Formats: sequence, C-alpha cells, structure tokens
Amino acid sequence: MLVSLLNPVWRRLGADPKAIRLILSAKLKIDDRAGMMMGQRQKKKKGMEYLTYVFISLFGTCLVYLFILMEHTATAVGLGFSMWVCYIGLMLITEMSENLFDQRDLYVLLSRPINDLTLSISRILHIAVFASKFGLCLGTPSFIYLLVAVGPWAAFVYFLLSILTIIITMTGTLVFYLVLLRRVESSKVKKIVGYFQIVATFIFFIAYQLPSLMGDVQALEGLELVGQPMGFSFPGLWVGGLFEAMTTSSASVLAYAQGLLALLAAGGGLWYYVDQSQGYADRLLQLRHGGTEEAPEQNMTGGAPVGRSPVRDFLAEWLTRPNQERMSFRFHWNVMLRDMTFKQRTYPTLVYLPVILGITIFRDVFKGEEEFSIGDGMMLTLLYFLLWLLIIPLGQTKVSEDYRASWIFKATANSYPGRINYGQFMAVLGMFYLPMAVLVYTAVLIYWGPSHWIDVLMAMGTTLLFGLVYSQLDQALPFSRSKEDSKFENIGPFLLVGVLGTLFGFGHWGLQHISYLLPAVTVVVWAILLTWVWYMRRGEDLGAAAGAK
Amino acid sequence: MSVIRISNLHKAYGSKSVLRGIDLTVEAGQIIGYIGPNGAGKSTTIRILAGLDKGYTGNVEVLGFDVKKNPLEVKKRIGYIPEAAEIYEVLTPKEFYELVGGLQDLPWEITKKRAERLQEYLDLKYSKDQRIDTFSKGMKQKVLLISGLLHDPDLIFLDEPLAGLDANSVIRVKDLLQQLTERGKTIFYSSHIMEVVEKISDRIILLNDGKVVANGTFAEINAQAHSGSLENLFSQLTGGSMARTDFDFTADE
Repeated sequence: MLVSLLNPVWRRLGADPKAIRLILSAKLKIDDRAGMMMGQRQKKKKGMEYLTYVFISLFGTCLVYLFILMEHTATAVGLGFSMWVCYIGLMLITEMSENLFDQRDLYVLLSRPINDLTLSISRILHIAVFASKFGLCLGTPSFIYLLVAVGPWAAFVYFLLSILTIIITMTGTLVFYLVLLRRVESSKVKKIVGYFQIVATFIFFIAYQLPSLMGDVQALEGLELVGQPMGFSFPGLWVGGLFEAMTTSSASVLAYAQGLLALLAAGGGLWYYVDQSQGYADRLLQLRHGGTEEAPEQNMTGGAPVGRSPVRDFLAEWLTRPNQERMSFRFHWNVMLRDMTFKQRTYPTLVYLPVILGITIFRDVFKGEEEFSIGDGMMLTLLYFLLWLLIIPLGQTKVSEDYRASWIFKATANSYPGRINYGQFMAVLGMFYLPMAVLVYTAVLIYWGPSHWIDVLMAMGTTLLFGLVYSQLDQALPFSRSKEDSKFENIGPFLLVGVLGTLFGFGHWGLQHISYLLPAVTVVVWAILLTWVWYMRRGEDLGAAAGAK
Repeated sequence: MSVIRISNLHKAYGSKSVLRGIDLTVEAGQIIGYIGPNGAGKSTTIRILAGLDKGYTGNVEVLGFDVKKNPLEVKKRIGYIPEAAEIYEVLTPKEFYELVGGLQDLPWEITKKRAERLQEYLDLKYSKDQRIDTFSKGMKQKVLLISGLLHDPDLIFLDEPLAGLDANSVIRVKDLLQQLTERGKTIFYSSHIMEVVEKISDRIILLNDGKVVANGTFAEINAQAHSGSLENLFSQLTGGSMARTDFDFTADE
C-alpha cells in the first residue's frame, strides 16, 4: 500500500505502477517461503530470522552508548550512521546479491511487457524493504534515547536521516553492482561477486567487533568529527553534518557542507541507479549465457583442471578406506572447494575467532594486562580454537544452494551411513583442521615448550571427539539444507558442542593443576575417540555391492 | 514373478487426495508405461515405489520387500531416475558416478567401466574435467539416466526419462530400455509422449484422478475403447476431448 502511494511518481518516471506492485509482492512472498525438495516443503525460516533481528536490535542498543559516551551529539549520530552504512551495506552484499542477479527474472519478468525502469524500481523497493527491517532494529534504541534525552525534534530528524542513510547505502551498493555488471566480463561477474561477498563478510565482522572496544577507548569522549575536515571522510559522518545543521543554530559551514554532501549522495545515487538501469536485462541475459553450454570453455573453472588434486588424493588414501569412505571424502572435498555458497558461508566464519583473539590481545596490551595473552590461558584458547575449524565447516557441509541435488542420498541404498559421515568428517579435517593444527601445535611446542605435549595431545583428542559428537548430533544429509533454512534446531547442535567444547577447555586448565590426572583423562578421551571411529567405520567387508559381479 | 504388488494404495497431501485406492501387480521383464494427465499421481506413485515417501496407506511391495518396512533393501535393487532432478552441477560426471556408485556400495572400477559403456552407448561426449554445470539439459538427463543404471538394478523407475532429449537420443534410450528387459530387467516409467509409450510398452497403466482407469497391453485396452491410437484412448479415458475447431478465446469481447 505504501508503494501505491507513490504511483504518480512511478508513472511520471515512465514505470508501470501495477507491475511494480505485483513484482514486489511476489518477491516478498518468495523471500518469506522456503524451498521444496522431493515434493516436500523445507521447514520455515522464521525462527532464525527473528533471532537475527533480536541480535541486530542488541547491536542497535550498543550504538546508544555512543550518545552517552560522546559530548558531541552530531558526531555520535555520524559514527552511528557510519556503522549503519557498514552493516546494512554489507548485509546487502552478502544476502541480496542473488536477488540482483536472479536469472528467473529473465524468463518470468523480462518476457513480459515491462520496461527496464519498472524492473529496476521494483528491485530497489525490494531491497529497501530488506534494508528497512535492519534499519528499524538498529535505529529504534537511538530514536528512543534521543526522544527522551534530547527532545522530539532531534528524534524526528534522526528518523528522517535514517531513511536518508538507507538510501545512500542502498544506492551505493547497487551502483557498485551496476558498474560491475557493465564493466566486467559476464563470465567473471558471479565469481567476483562471490569472492567480494567473502571479503565483505570478513570486514563486516571486524566492524561489528569495534563497538566492543569502545568501552576501553575513553578518547572517544571528546572526539569531534562532524563539522571538521575529517567529517568528509565517510558517508555516515555527512549524515551527522545534516543532523547538526537541522538541530542546532550554531552549525559550522563545514557541517552544512557535509549535510549537503549527504543529500547529494542520496539524490545522485538514485539518479545514477535509474539512469543506469537501461539495458540491465541485456546484461543479465549475458550473465545467464556465462553459465551454459554456449560458453563451455569459459566455465571450466578458469581453465584449471577440476578433476585432479594431488593433496585430496593423498589425504583420501591416507585417511580413508576405498569405496564409501573415500567416495564421501572426495565428494565433500570437491564440493567444498567449488561450491560458492559453501565458501561464502564458511571462509569468513573461520576468521571470527582469530579476530576475537586479536581484539582480546589488543585490549589486554592496551590495559597493561597481557598476562593472559602470553600465559597458559592463551595456549589452551589456541588449542581449543581448532574445534571451531572442525564444526563450522562440518555444519556448512549440510547446507547448499544446490540442496535439491541431495535427493541422490535418499534415493540410493546407502547401507553404511557411518562411512559417509566418516568420509565427510575426514574431508573437513583434511581441508580445514590439519593445516591449522600443524601450525598451532608447532607454535605451542616452540613458544610454550615441548613439555606441553600432553596438553596438545589432550586438546587434539578432545577437539576431534567433540567434532564427532557434532557430526552425530546433526544428522542432516550432505548439502541437503537450503541456506534459508537456518532455523534454531539446525544451529542447536553447533551451539551445544561449541559451549561444551569451551567448557572442556576450562576443564583442561583445571586438570593441569592436578598431578597425573591430565594424562589419565587424555587416555580416556583418546580411547573414546578411537572406539567411536571404529564404530563409524564398522560393517561387512567391501565388495558387497548390489550388482557387482 | 511379481516385482511390484500394490494394494489399496492411498496418498493425500493435507486434505487433497492424490492416490485413491490403487491396486496393481507388475510381472518381471516387462516395460510398463505409466501414463496419466498432469497431477494424476504418477510421480507420487513412483516416489512411493522407490521408497522415498512413506506417508501413504495400503500395501506396497517391491521385489518382495515391503517398501515402508525395508526401504533400504528396495533401494539396493532398484534404479530411480526422477523427473527434472537437480544434480550436483559443480561435479564432473565421473565424480557424480563415483558418488552414486559409492552410495550403492559399488567398487569404483565397476562403476567406472559401466559408466563408460553407458556413456558410449548414449553418445554422451564432453571434454575431460568438464563440469555438469556446462552441460545442456539433454546431457544432464543422460548423466542422470546413467547414474540410475550403474548398479545394474533389477527394477528401474523412470519419471519422464525422455524429457530434454533430442530425437537421436530418444531412439537410443528406447533401445537401451528394450535391451534391459531382454536381460530380465523390469522398467516402470512415466511419460507424456504417447507415441513412444504405445511403441515400447509391454503394458500400459493409465492413471486418472488417483485411480487406475486402464491396465493392459495397448491392444487389450484399445479393444475396449476402439480409439485407434493411444493419444485418443488417453483423451477418451481421462475425460479430455478432441480439440474444437471453432474455439476462439476472444469471442464475445
């Protein structure tokens, strides 16, 4: 209905309001629904979505701290909106890219009598709905604070500027994609976007951690950026300038200039987006042809031979037995290495802990409390960090954009699911755990000393054992879950094993202080681990194949 | 020997009844054409027979095993090629065969040999290391077909196996199906291409609105309805009508 209010505007621009409403309505329905597999509906995704909003609201509440901490309200507003730009911009990149390159648009929408502008407006409105949900969660706490602490006018201005920030962020992101689509070869666009998403998620995570440092950085108290030359450095601060101009009578010329820049960025971005929307369909079509038999040579993963991998083959032979185990190992290895969804969802998460670790050390050094950073606590943190390198990728081997292809696991006999799980576990172990484990164990034995071999052995056994526990708890078939299907029960095993593993790490610290107990527990852990592995791999001898004569 | 025994099979999606009391027996070594209008319940029946859907009532036995109680035993002995199936497109065909063969507990050497022979027979050609995502629809269909035959199943379920294939490939697949029955295999397939069904099926089962409305050889069914062709027979038995020559959807505007 809100969209219909702007019908005269759409009409004046040359777009079809009815088509805009229909497309937007259909796209929002699609967002809201999970996919089908083997004629059965995948579970709804609402639970996780609400949880995400709760977390974002918490983040929004943290932003209120900026107002409490800083004396200059406009700078606080500017920094807050800078966070918005990072957060929403990167959410758009990580979550909405597929929407921008949705090939179904080609056949379903572009085969109908609608012009490029209609499609472009419906697309930006769709993205606006997505971004507004985040904006609402991020902005409500600050809005309430300003309403109570500063006054209704400041709160109202903050509300208007929230919309402006969303427009700047959206158009900035969309213009980036439009330029990419126009300037880069079609066959490379998807790959570039995929890797950009990985980098963007990484940056997003670091940006997300920054507020946690604010409590320690008292220097922020007197910081004044808006109305100063530094206020031109980031779009969020331009919006801060506009806030200053609209709420005070003593705003500097620079603050007015920054405010004007914010208005120009929003208006210019919208104009450029609409202007560049012409011919979008043609480029989308080219993008489509970048992935068909018409361009077979371009699609051979850049010409690199995809079937051969000496590392995979060596590890497969070393870690698995022929047939089901090895097949599962090779299958998981291949998909993990090639599936962009897997890479996008796994690679960034693997750096989360190193970042937290880095921030912890930074804070300790900043406060002059670096005892933890160089003590046994850090050694155990490093050793148990390896658990995440197992369970994060393991969890992601259940998820895929191509989840419908997992029908093959349901349609085939698969008499030894344990062997399939074992192959899966070993593939993750070989690709993610082993390389980092070699580094961490070497670092521990060199820096903390060879006498800590028992700690290494204990932590290795424990992390592998908890990896197996996770594998047992989440029994979904390989790559069988839609990435939208991130409901709580899917992440439950992950959280459980993560928490238990961490607790065990603390337990390990306790065991260090009791003689002989650590070696004894290490023996028990390894005994359980090896028994579990034997149990997974058990079964009749090989060659019992149906039809194998 | 009966390879399929279905009695009083009912299946509903929510309140919508899809299969309404199917009784069926299929003997070994036959090609069974399972036809019916869209939404008649063909794919649902095949999914149930392949052990993929347990939400039904009635008795379903495949190769002597109760499908609900022993789905694994059934899956070991059958081949299932679903309609318009998704496939791991990031894999090469060889890697996909390795996966499917492995799941069927088939040694890789045998999988490889059989896949190569089938590829040659079906004229599936591609360059080394070429991924499935570069294939045409017909090529993907051939990969699926091969993957369903690798373990040399006794009973093969095919849901629209000819979809996306060119004329030459249709001929090859038809020949392949016939050769399989000569080796004692049973083929149970659904199709909308009446001409092919009429030519290659030993027996035709016509499903309409969740019920079997015809079951027999083409000659037997035709003897009752005197329709001349399977297309006409289909139309007559499923309540369709021949195209009207005076139809104009813009009339009275």
